Amino acid sequence: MSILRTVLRGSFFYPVVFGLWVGFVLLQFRNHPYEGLPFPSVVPSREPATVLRRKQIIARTIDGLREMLAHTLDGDQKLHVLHNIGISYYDRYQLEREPSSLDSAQMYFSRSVENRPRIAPFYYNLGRAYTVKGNHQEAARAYAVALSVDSNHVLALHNLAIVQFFEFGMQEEPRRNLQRLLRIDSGLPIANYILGEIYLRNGDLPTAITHYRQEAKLYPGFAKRAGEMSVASESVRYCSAMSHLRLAVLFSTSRIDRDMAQENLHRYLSLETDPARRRKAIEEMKRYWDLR
Amino acid sequence: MGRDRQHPVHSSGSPWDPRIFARDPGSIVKLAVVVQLVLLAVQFDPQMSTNGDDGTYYILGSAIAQGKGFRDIHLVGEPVHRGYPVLYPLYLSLSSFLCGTPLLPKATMGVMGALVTLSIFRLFRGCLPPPALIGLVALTAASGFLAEYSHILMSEVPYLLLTLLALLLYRRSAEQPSRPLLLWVAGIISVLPVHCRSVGLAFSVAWMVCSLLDKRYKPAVVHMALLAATLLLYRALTSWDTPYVHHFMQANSYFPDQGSISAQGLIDRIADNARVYGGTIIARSLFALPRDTPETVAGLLSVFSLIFAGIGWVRNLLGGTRIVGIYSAFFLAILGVWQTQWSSERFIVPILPFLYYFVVLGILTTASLPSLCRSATLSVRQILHALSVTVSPVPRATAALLAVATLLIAAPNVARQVSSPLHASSSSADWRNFYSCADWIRCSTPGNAVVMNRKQELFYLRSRRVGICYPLTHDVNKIMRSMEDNRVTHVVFDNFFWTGTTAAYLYPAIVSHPDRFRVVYALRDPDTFVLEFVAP
Repeated sequence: MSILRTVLRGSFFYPVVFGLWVGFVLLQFRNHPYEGLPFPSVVPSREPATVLRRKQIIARTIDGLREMLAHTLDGDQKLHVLHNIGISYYDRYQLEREPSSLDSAQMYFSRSVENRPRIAPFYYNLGRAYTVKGNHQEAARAYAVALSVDSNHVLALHNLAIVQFFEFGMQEEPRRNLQRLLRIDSGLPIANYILGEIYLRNGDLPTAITHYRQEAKLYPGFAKRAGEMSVASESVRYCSAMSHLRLAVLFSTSRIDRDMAQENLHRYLSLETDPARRRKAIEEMKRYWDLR
Repeated sequence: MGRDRQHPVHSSGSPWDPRIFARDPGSIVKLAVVVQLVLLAVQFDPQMSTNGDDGTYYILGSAIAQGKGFRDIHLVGEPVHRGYPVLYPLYLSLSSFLCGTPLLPKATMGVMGALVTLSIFRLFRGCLPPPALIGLVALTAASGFLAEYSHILMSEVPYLLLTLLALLLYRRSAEQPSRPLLLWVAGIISVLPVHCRSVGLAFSVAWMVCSLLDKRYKPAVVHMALLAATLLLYRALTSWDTPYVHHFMQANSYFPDQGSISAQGLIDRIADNARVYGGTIIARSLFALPRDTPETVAGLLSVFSLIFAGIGWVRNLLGGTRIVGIYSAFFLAILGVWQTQWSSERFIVPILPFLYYFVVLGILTTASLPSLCRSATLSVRQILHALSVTVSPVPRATAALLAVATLLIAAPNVARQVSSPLHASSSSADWRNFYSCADWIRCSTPGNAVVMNRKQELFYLRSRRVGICYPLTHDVNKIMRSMEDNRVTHVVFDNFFWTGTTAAYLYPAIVSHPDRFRVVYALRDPDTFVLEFVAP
């Protein structure tokens, strides 16, 4: 008791109390973990465009960017903000298929190019919005401007060629654009199919076959990277299927090779989902071969 | 600074002299310190807080302990740190030698908080009558914000302790001017606050001004010489560039394109800060009010506390402890010119006990004014002189008023400490997911991985991987270039509830370049991802 009294009254009081406090903390929390084990991952897909395209993330992005737009004074930064809001609305459209989102995307893309900045992706994305809306003239114009800013913008070259071939029925210009494209990036979908069609229509069968084969060969890679593609995966599958069908017909008529014809027919049937088109293809092949 | 002096004006009226105050108030202070530590024990959280600055301090301390110098070892390239002064990280480096986790330094922060209470008692022992002194000690010990900052590894409480120590030595050297060793020791201690927090410049200026006003030229010269020498040495060893000047000159650091602040902008900033601090922050700091307190209530408490604090401040300037008042004025002036979006209770913590002192002194003065004014024969000069000395003993009514005021202020502070758990934010789902990403990175990536994320210091402590934040630009190509230049290998896409910058800046960059990223780890509720950055 006398020791306690001495401690309480004397100059030992504070050192003892502080020592007890530190001791208490060190003992109480000595096993506290400052690291842990990670929670199990929940999403099997590795494609960021697919995984990140979530309603809440997109909504947050749009809200955050619109708030920042109000505070951004720098002209260049403002354009980037407008463009990024457009991207977010475009992604929202791809997720929810709400026409109003596509309209908003197109509006923000248009605002981002109002002062004609020298930034190719702004025009390219505007072209994409027009393409989805079915306004192919404006889309082609936007892609052309993107190419005037950056002549090697592969996606603008790609989309322009697609619009020119499928929508306007052109051949020479898309052929030139796609050949330029393939020199820069040989791995883009649909390009080889379009070239195959152009060469087929012009009677250059060997070159057509080369391009159809290339399109078919690249398809498995396209399928894995579906989320990164700038074109719809259905279009990619369609073009690959058609490439196989063209090859099946060509190996049945011009370059007779039964095995190759059968193999390509089977690959076509594995990709084509429409029953009517499948039936039609089988009927056509029956005309060339005795299939029972 | 002066000790008790009885003035004949206050010999009228029955003085309060109960037995409890006849004893040495030191016993009451011991009780207050024990209660303070018990309250700290109730709310102690061993985890780092989520503001990130404590992580930076701890990392700087670890860097010094590892022999790497004063460097941000959590950032790419381990650059020399240019922001915080060196003293507190130096202190943390000592505990890094002894303990490999933040636990020991966090425990010593609690000791510092208790030492603040003890120092307040010793500093104002000769300046306040026992009831007022005990009230002040009780308020300091019960302060919710002081308790909060006695848990986390931030420099506010160590800075406060250093200023108190310096003030004690200032008084001691004034009482014993013939001891040169004391003069030099006081001088050395007086330059430590500025090396703990840059706002310590206010303390240095107050020290010199007060020394000159007291006609004590040697302390002023010693302080100035030591300050110049230490600052030059520190800058020469680290960097001449300091971000504080840059932040002061910017209109808004979160929107750099708004450029530098203009003269009108500065006036507006001072007015905004006066409104914010005077309107809510000071009241919230004194009373530890919750954030959802109605504006009218906070405003009313603000008005009363500012009135009493103002009276107490004026009285303090007339008395012998005026260095406290002058320092507080300079301190608040610096807060007034800082960017308004950063205004918070945190910046008040270094002068919180002094604000309590002003409030107590203001109540004391207000209570004594009627008796002063009743004496018609007193001149203004005599009244002012009466106000400049300590009132002792205290009339019964005044002591009761002080006790009620102390209870009214201390009660919500204690309630805050026992009812709301500290660091609740670090256990929210967004933070749990963020830390899980850090754990995944630590377990699944090589040691030289570089991770782009929103809170590099906290992420580094958990993942043991260096990182960078994404540049605050909307140009997605610049963000991609930043990743390439810094050899980023992974990116954390968080979904923090308290900020949306990751979505605003990173989402457009990622979806514009989907071929450059692979999702390697994903969590829900909220959506949080780790993406691998793929070389072109």
